[in-house]
Amino acid sequence: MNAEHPSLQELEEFVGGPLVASADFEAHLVHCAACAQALGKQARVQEVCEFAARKLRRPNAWVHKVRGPGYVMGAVMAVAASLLWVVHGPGMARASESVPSQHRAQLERADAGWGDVILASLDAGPRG
Amino acid sequence: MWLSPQTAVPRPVAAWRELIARHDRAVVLSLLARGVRLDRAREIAHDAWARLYEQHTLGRLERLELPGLAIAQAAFLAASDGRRSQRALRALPPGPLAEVADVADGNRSPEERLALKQDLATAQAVLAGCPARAQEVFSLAFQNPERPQAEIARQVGLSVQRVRQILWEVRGRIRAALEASP
Repeated sequence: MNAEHPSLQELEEFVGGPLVASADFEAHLVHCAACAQALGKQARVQEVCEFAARKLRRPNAWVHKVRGPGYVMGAVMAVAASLLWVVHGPGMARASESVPSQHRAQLERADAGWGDVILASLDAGPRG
Repeated sequence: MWLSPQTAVPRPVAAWRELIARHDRAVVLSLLARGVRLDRAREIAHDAWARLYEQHTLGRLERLELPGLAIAQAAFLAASDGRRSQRALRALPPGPLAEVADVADGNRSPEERLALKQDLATAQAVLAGCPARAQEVFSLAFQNPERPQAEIARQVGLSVQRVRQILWEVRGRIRAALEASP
């Protein structure tokens, strides 16, 4: 570690780990305004990265296996489209329309619990 | 994660210790990202957990969603803390202390708040431009930051060095994009 100020990589490793470091390192971060500010920026990048990672859709292992040969996925898509066409009749369309809009909004909110927390948490952070 | 007040009653202290051990890092990180100093961030996180524990044991919390609720509680305490510091520092001449106070200020304008919400969209746009393998490594590493990189390397069939390189590159791109965003 640099005797004066920690490097960018050291700050990144700190915020990317369990947030525990040597007493000297932590004391410097507490008493040096410039490093406290740099730490805030790196913590923000780390937090944004962690939130973005949660939003990424990770394909399942079995998807990896069938994704190789394209014709398998093509066949699966064709079967799925046929089933959708058979099942999704006028009755289902009517049922879908009959759900009150406020209930739908409630369901959407319930599904976005972490997302709301993410945005709330992003509020009021340091910038730039 | 959430648990009802009833289910936590038999061994509340042990259950809370486990929850705090699991989620405290996220709470402290959120405070650091708001510009709170490291030592103060730990104190505020401690206070936030103490208040949640108290409210929970009194049966005042219907649901306990973590770490979201603890992050929100800590943010509230940090904002109150920032307002108190601002009042105390108004009497002092400008200098290093005032600079720290600026960093610690949790109160921002609506425009700044909106810009901050765009950071997540910026990061997502950067990720969308990365190869699928890089996205997978990124997702595995940042969803569970304390997971050893060797374990991730085994799972995706890459060397530890390559995993480290991918993470460094993707994080660097996101950092640059955030710094470049208006």
